[in-house]
Amino acid sequence: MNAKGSIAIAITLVALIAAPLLYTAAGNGLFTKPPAPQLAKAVNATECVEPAGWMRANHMNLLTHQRDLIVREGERGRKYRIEGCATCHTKRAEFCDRCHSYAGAKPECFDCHYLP
Amino acid sequence: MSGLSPLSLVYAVLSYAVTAVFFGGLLHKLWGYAVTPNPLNIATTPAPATRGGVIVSNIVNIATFSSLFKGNRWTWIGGYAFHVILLAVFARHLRLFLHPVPPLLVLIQPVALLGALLLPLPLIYLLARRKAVDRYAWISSPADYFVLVLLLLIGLSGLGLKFVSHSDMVGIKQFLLGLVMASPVDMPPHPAFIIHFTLVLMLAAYFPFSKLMHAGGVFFSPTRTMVDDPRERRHVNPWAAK
Repeated sequence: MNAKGSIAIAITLVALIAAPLLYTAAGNGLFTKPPAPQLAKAVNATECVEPAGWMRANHMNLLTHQRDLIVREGERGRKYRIEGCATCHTKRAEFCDRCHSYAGAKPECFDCHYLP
Repeated sequence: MSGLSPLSLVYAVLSYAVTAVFFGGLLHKLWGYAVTPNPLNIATTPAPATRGGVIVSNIVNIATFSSLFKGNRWTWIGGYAFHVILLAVFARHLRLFLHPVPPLLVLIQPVALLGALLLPLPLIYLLARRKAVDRYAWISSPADYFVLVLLLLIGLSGLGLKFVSHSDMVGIKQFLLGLVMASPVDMPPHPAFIIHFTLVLMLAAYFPFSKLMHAGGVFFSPTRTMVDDPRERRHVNPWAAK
């Protein structure tokens, strides 16, 4: 192969690896604060069932673990219920969906539960 | 960079240093491969006799590792499985670096997760292969074990983040976006994430100076990229022509 073709391949390879970083830097701008999801304030209560920091990392464990216990094992009377979540976090689109679309994670909750 | 916690400051500086080393090293190595002259036509026969044929055979080789398959099936099984899984893991991680997240990436998450779960298996297999087969043990250097163990630790710490000690993903993405956008914010002080991230920085800094450069080198290997036409066309070395 001639040197010109080889150099073109070398530059293409580096550009491909840098592409995701360039996409984000170009789309969101440099030297500006990184975007963060804006969540609707909870209503009806001032504290969550567990500390907010813990909930941020582990809420899915509560939800899916309990789903398995309730739906598959038939255990009633668990401590928390998804309807409980909805009494304070009333708008799914302004709460759940904000972080989930930010992180690109699709929750399974709403395959069955209807939360507007 | 003001207002960052000491931990975040250290990791922000480390991240930029590693990024510079990674891309600088990569450019330096690939440039070296690209401008090294090929004095002789040394295509490994049987090889395609046309430029188009060579391009097709290289695409097939990179997609299926066909030359390794012809060489050694046992190595191919482990190596190919590992690289396919690595691709799935990369695809899964892209959502943490891209904003907004493309819908296709959201769709492939569950499938890619299945792949990621299997990541340790081919690595353990490849480690065992080096240890258990005499002729591989004989030619294995510490560097060969180092990359396998490093990748295994990265995989295990990553799976730990997913299945054992969950972290604040939104906080992590904000930290990563901050780094990419040259405006660092605090990093969630989550032990499993710090371990995972540190190991990845080690891998990235080591990458351009290691055998992992086969990822780029495969595009420049003269035995595979040269056209098998020594009788049809005279091969003239560029610097010999002058």
